Formats: sequence, structure tokens, C-alpha cells
Amino acid sequence: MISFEKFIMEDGMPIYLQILQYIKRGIIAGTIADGDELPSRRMLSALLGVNPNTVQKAYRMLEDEGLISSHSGAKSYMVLNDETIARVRSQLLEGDAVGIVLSMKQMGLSKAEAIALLEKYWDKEVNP
Amino acid sequence: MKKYLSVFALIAQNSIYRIFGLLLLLAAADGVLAWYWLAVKHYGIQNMFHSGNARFGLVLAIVFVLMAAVQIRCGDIYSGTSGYTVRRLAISEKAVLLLQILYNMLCWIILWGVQVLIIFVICKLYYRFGEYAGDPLSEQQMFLLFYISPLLHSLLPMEETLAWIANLVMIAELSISSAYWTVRRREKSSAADLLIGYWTVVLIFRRELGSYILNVIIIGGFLIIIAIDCWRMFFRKKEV
Amino acid sequence: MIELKNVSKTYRGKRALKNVNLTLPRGEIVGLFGENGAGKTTLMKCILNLHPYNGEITLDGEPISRKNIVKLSFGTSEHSFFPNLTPRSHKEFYKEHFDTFSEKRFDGLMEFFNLPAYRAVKNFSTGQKNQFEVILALSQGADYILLDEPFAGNDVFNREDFYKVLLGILEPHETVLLSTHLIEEVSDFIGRAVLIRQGEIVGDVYMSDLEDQGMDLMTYIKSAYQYKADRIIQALTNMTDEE
Repeated sequence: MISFEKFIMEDGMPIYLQILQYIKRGIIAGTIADGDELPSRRMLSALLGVNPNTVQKAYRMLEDEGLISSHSGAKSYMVLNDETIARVRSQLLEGDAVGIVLSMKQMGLSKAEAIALLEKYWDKEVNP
Repeated sequence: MKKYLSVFALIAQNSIYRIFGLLLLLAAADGVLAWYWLAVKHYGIQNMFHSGNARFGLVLAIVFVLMAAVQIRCGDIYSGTSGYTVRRLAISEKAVLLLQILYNMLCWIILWGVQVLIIFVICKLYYRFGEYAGDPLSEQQMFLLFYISPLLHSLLPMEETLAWIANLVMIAELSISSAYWTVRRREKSSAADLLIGYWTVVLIFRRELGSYILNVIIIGGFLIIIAIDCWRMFFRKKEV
Repeated sequence: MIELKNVSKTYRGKRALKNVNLTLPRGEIVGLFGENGAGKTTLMKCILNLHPYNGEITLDGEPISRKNIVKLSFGTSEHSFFPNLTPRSHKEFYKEHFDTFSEKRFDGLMEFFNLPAYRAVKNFSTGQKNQFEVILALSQGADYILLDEPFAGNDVFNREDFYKVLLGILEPHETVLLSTHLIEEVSDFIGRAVLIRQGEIVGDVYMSDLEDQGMDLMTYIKSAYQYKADRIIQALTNMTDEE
């Protein structure tokens, strides 16, 4: 069963989106694989201390994106193949990239300055 | 069935320890009085019970009043915070009232029984160890007491059926009116008639042998009150 | 569904509830928020028929009477249990009076909170009493569980544990109405927030709607209460010599 031990709730982002992101990052990292079982809605809501509707919303979105399949009863399983994993990766990457571009623009950087900054740090050994 | 039993237990456990305490008090007080009059003052048992100066009646009256107070204070399971739970039960208020009446009657009967038992024990001890120990007529002497002494006779009316009935009617009336009081108290009624009932019993309980008319009046009067209270409780009252 | 229609109550000359209209469908977890004396407790007690009131309150279409009141359970910081009885005796009593009583849930929760089954409840600590009160409310098997500030005096770990257990054991058809001051703590846990102020409902919103609007609960509440942020600054300005 997929573990939510490392899930940390943050302020600011709706919880269902945070759950979505947690799953997607797990998919990219390889810790969540095809066929893995998700906790039931009730169990996850109890684990995280959030309303079942919130979990329901997250699971429904995952289902809409074709990443999970829910059978009658409480069990849901990941449905992943190379294509979906690649899609999720590019989604998240694009999302992160958009975020970076926006914050750099907000700080008033020009495109050339942005590229220079990226080049500077790409080759260095940077600790996150 | 068990449902009603559990509510009965709830009513009882509110006051049962205090009532046992009162019975113990009665036994202790009577014991002290008996010791004083018989062993110290050598009054003789007939004089002791007959004269009325020995204050057994007073002790009984005090315990009676205290027991009434316990019943009234502790009898209402609808009051207080646990009342929030009782009021959510499916059991009807009328059923609860009946159980309260039953419990009250039980308490009075127990008081009655215990008082009679105490007197028996005093008599037995007296005739075994007292001045007349070994007197072959002592058994008869003992039963004579229940004819001669007004207090003892009222407690155990030998050969006077009317007095028995009067006792039962009094117990019934007290039980019913104090159970009904728990309802009336919530409507902020005055306690006057309740207290009059108790006072009357205290004053008139001690009847001599042959108080025919008094017993009839008691029976008649209290039956009327019982009828009125029952009608108000069970037929006219809306569910709370 | 519980429906309140134009419910009003006057208490000692004060209007405790004014024209309250509220529907509580099954399966929701609703937070009831309001300042002290706003009417949260009065509202719950009217639903439970513990107070007379004007207006109409129905449960699945019927007025609330001895016939259907078993579908409601109540947990309160005033403690409605029987102090002289032990938890064991409470279990026996509840089994007799409530067909829907869940022994499994009762035993499970008793174990989870580690409460002694054979001690008279009056001898419990305040925190334990609160826990026991809530255990009774949850184990009755009611469709609608009304909890009135059930955690007065419990520490935060206790409360967090409790919310999680509640979320884990509630069936989809069970409804919880929880009145509390602790808004931030319960904001993830509830699905709907109802605000009451001086006897009137001043807010009623589903958390998912707030989320869609990008608003958080505190912001919603502050706007519903017309909280003036500069009130603090104004007061300080008046009290000190700063400009």
C-alpha cells in the first residue's frame, strides 16, 4: 500500500492539490508503481486528519487523469505505463518551470539575465 | 423488561446509600434509647413503649422526614446534566414516574420493616437478658406491647385491618405525591401540598387501638389525593 | 435530514436564537462556530428537544419526539453521562436502550483512549471524562451526532488523535455537528462551516466552495463577522501616545 508517511501538509495550497502532487512526485521518483494500492478514502482522511470529501476530490481527479482505477468497494490501484509516467513528468516539470519563470519575471530579470543565471548554476555542484 | 429495570436501578442508585445510612441511624438511635431507658433507668419495657416519653416516636419522625427529603432531592433522574441523557431515552415519562413511585414505596416499606425489626430485636434482647429473663409469659408480654403502645400498634396494627389499610394508603400517597413532585418542580409549582401530606402523616401516624374513625378519615382523605394525583399525572399531563 | 425552520428562542428576556434556518443533510461533518453566548449550545439543545422553542425542527420530515430521538446523540462539555456508574455499566445501559448501540466501537474507543472500564466515571480526570462523553455519543449508533465543545480541557495531542479516529470510524451516512472555538484546528476536518452570531446564522459555507474561491476559513469568518482589522490599531492608538 502506498505510504503517506512522508506527506507534509502545507498552508496555502488546497489539500487535494497537495495530495495530487504527492502522488505525482512519487510516480516520477519511482516510489509509486503500476498496480500499487492506494489507501481507502476513509483511511487516508483519518491518516491526514482531513475531511473525506477532500480525499474524494483528489482521488477523482487522479481517476479523471487516468492514473488510478477504483473498483467497487474501497480499493483503488495505480494504473501506470511509460506513457502516463512521461506525461506526469512533463506536466510537473512544466509546472515547476512556469513557476521559476514567473518568479524571475517578478524580480525584474530579463530573458538574457535569466538564462545567464541558469547557466551559472547548472554546472556547479549546488546543494538544495 | 430489562430496559425498565435499568431505569429503576438508575433511580435507586441516586439515593440508596443515603437511605441505608438513615436505616443505620435509626438502629443506632433506637439502640441508644433502649439502652438508656432499660439498662440505665430500669423503666421496664412496657413503660418505655407505652408512655411516649422514650422518644422512639420522635426518632422515627426525624428519620422519616430525612428519608422524605432524600427521596425528593434525589428522585428526579431528569434533572441535572445526566438528565440530558435520560430525556433522550425512548422510555416514556409516565413509565419513569411509575418506576419512581415503585421505588419510593419500596423505601417506605423497608423503613417500616426495619423499624419493626429493631423493636423485635429490642424486645427479644430484653426478655432474654433483662429483668424478666426466663419469665414464661414473656412472649405474650411482647405481643401485648403491640396492642398497648400507640406507636407500636400503628406500626403493626394487630387485629385492626383498617389500620393496616390506612398505613398502606399513606405509603402509597406519599410515594405518588413525591414522584409527581419531580414533574411539578420543573414547572415551578409550590411544594405546599406535598409538605402538608408529609406533615399530616407525621402528626397522625401514632394511633391507638380502636381509632376507627381516624383510620377511616385517613383512608378516605388520602385515597382522594391519590386519585387526583394519578389523574393529573397519567391522564391529563402532556409528554414533556 | 434535520431541518430548522424559523427557530427562535427567548431566554430570560434575551433573544438566544433569532429566526434560524438550517438544513443538515446526512453524512456531513459540520463545524458550528460562534463566540461565547452566540447560541451554539441553545441551538443544539433545541434540536434535542431539551428546550422549548418557537418554529419548527424536523428529523427526516417528522417532528422530534420520543419515537425518533434515538437517531440523535449528544456529547457536551457539561457531561451527560451517569457519574456514579462505571463505563461497563454505561455499556450495559446503552445496549438496553439503544438498538443501534455499537459495542465494537465502544470497546475500540475505550481501548484507544485507555480508559478504565471498572471505575466510576466521576473519578476520571476532566480529559478522560471528555473522552468518555464523546465515546458514548459516537457509540450510540445515532445518525446525527451533536457535539458541543467536547474538548474543553483536553490537550492538543488528544484532540488531534480524536479527529483522526473520528474520520476513520465514521460511516458515510453519519452526520456530525461539532461546535467549537478551535476554528483553525478543525478547518481541514470539517466539510462545512456554519457561523452563528448573537443568535443568528451569519455564515453557511461548504469548505470545497471556499477552496474553489481560493479563500481560507479564517478570512471567510472575518468577513462574515465584519471583523475590522484596523480596530486593533485604532484601539492601540487611543490607548498609547503613538500616532
